[in-house]
Amino acid sequence: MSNPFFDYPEQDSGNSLAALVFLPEWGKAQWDALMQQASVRRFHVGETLVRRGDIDRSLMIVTRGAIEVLIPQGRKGELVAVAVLATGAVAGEQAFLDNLVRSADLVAREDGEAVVIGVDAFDIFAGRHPELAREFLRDLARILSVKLRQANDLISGKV
Amino acid sequence: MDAPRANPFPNYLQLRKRLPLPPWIWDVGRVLSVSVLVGFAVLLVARPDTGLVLFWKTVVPVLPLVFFLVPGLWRNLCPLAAANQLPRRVGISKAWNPPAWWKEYGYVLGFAAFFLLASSRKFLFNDDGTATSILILSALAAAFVGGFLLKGKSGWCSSICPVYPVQRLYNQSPAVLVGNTHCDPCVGCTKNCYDFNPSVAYLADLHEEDQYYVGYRRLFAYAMPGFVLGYFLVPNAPVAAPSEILGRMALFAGAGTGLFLAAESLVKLPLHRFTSLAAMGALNLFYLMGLPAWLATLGTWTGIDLPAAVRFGIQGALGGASLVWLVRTWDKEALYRLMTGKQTASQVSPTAAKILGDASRSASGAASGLEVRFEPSGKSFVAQAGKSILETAEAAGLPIESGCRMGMCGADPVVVLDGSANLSPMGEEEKATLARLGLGGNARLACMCKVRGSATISLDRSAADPSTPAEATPGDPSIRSVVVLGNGIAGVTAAENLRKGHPDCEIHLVAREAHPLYNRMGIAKLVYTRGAMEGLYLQPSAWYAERRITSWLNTRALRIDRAAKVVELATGESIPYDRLVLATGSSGLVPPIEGFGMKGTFVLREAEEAMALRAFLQEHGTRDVAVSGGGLLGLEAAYALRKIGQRVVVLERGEWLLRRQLDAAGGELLRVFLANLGIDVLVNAEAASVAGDDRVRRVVLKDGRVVPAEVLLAAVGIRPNVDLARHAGLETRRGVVVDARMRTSDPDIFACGDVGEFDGQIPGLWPVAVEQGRIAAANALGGEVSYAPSVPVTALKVVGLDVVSMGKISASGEGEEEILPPSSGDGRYRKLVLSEGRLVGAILMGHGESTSAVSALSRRKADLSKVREELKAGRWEVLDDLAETAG
Repeated sequence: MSNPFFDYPEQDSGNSLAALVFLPEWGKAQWDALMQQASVRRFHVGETLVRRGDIDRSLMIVTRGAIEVLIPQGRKGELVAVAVLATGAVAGEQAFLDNLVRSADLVAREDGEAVVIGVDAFDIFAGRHPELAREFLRDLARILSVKLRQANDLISGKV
Repeated sequence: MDAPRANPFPNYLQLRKRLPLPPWIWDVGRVLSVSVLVGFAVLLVARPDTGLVLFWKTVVPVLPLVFFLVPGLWRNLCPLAAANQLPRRVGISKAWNPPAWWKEYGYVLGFAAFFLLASSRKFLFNDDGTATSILILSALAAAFVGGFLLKGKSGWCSSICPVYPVQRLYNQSPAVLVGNTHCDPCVGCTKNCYDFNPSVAYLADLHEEDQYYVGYRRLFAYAMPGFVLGYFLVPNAPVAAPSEILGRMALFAGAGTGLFLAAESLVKLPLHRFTSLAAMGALNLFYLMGLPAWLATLGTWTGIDLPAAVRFGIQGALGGASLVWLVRTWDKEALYRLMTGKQTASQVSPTAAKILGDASRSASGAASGLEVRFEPSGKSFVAQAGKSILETAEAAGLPIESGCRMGMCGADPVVVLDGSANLSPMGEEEKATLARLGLGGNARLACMCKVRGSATISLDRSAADPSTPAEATPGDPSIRSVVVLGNGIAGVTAAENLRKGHPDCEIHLVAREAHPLYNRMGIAKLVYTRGAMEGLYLQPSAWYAERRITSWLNTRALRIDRAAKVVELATGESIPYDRLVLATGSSGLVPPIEGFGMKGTFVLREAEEAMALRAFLQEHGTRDVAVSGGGLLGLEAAYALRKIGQRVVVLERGEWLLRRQLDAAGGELLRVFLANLGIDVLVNAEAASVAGDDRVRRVVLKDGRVVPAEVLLAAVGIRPNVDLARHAGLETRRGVVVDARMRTSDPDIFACGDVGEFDGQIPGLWPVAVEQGRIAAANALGGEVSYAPSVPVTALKVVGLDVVSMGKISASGEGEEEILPPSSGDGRYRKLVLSEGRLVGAILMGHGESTSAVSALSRRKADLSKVREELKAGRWEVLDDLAETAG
């Protein structure tokens, strides 16, 4: 496993992106079905895609490029990158699910694209493809669970 | 407000340089340090007494403090490091990758050598100048050979150097960070390299997955305090024999290790806490026990006998500094774990990435190189050819309202900042709607802009140019005052056209509702969104003033005095008129349900009713609601109620939903779609009564079924608001009867919109209201314009699903046939009805791509007999060609 603080210059920075892929078993038919309700957002390096506190409930799935997740730390609230989301990763799932404001800043680390689906658009998708919607939500729950485990590990101090 | 962005753990390439030192300074330092060490080697042989005291008792005891405070300085100036880096510097290093065993055990070899050599001081090096000299020269040679063979610092400094484990233990939170000046460029030779990232190297070591790797570091840390203590307590030679010294040193180190292992097993704290405590324990023990001798040695060199207070002062200061070090070291662990616990990242397998990428690209079609950029958010989306700006924004969850989706209501104005030529051109209806909105040149309605190329769109309508009022022709001087009753779309359209046709007359707009014109089609949203009326208003606040229209909101018209030509208001005022336009609209039909009117029964036609419903749901914490009526409004309301967490049952009187627009198969698909959204539909279900104590608890159906519900929302139709007209003696049936010029039985009074009944029809549709409002205004000013009902095309968005229905929806007569392609199995549905081969009707559900072609062909009753087989096979692209060629 690689460590982001030791991404030596000669290494390929892509190696620092660990694996946690949304809906890895989906094929073309499934993604095509989702795409009927979704948009494709294009972003450029340095662009802030999501700002903490924003009211925006759409979900993003990175299809190309990489996005950093930044959260404020310490008294000065300096933003630090706590995650990198690369191709196949899902972003924005918290606001998508809990209807609250955005919990972190997302900044593009590379140029890229992401599939974006709003809550209402997802409802339509669910109406037309309930079985796919179930898979979608189940996998989203799985990813949240993985993140929850990581958070638990952080709290218990045994990472 | 953006918080400053910082990296709390910068690597040496990112470190800010505080002192503008020229690079050669370091080389000078290294030459000096190597010279000093070689000087020691000579001195130790030539004058061993002086050399030994100077080397072991004066200089070496200072090193732990240097490792603790400014380790980077030592890493750059260490003479052994200089020897190690010389081959690389002069370009003769083989720079091999170290073998696996070296990577695995280099650190262990280093600390084993440290323990052995440091213990050996007690019987060898402390008293033997030659041995020490040989030790120094051997180390220099070994460091050089290591640098000659292996790449970077992996041959000595970051592997087997015996002092390296000590440095790593003490250097976790330096007082001063000094960047690495050896490695240019970094060759990535060492895992978790201290020289690369000094602040977190040790933490990274402890967080490795390989427990052996972690174990070596932990073992060394735990052994150190006991070892240091042993160094001062175990007697030197010749009191003890070398073997005894080594044995007792090992016992001390082992006892310390055991204590720490026991503590770690018993106390629930991260490993890092124990290793850092061991580090500071060892360091403080070293100076607690060793400082008196060092100060004494210093005294003999300088001749100054320092008082004991100085010693205590130094030891106290070190203790304080150690506490600071501990706090800083512990403090950063949480952040480090947070920042490396980032397994949220992902690297998808190449095939999965390709599938995902292909899907997103194929969805965007041929125009994938194009972008639609939305301001003020600055979000860019890949332009999906054929999709409207509205659809693109909706799919992305951007804040945009929608209404009729036909360019007539004006719920979705946007401003084109760039690329207007890449959007589908503007039609007459859209132009008229934008004029009503008071929006000029660069404004468009999102639903009417199909994307053909890149464009930049602002969702903030205030970016639009103001519209230039049309040149007004002089109006009929005999008309001085026109009163419009009703502030819905019919009334507002009428008022606007009145002003266009007559620049001078007074125009009064009297409205019972307290709101300026709003998007009535969007009121279901008021039930589940927290924005209240925000976004629903369809006019800027200055609209009335700019047109010199006097608006009377929240004002009830009491009576029309046709003889005196006066409208009397409930406020006691009265307004004289020369012409009167009735646009009082309709109310939700109160169904003949026994008990309707009880708390918990609602109709939904006005914004206030939607807001009252939302308030009721919250006040009573309801869970179950029933919606009577499976029409468009009922279904939108059901969806809204579902969104706010209610269990919803829709009661549909007929055999399937939307019976006027859909056939049985389409209705069933719609039912399944709604069921998937969590909305149940009961067909052949008509409410007979509501029952409950103080409020609704259940709905009883005509066939005796009982539906538990705390709310019954009736959406069974509209009731034109005809009371005023009826009391004034105008001819009324369900609505106010009008002719094709929208004239009532009184030639000075016109009616339009939901309140008007033309040809026995009350369509209750937004586009009809717009058209009738325009015609009523024109004729009120003396014009001669007739209303022609348009082809009955219904384009609905039922809870986000496009439903288009036109003409005949089922084949029934002689020579009629239905064309039903195989089902796509995803809730979509399409069907054409032909009569003698000509298109006379169609149903499209979720097939927006065919809508415009089918409606164009159906208006022309086009002959489709030649493409019958293609259509049956589902290849409906042929319709696009037909529509284009014929058009």
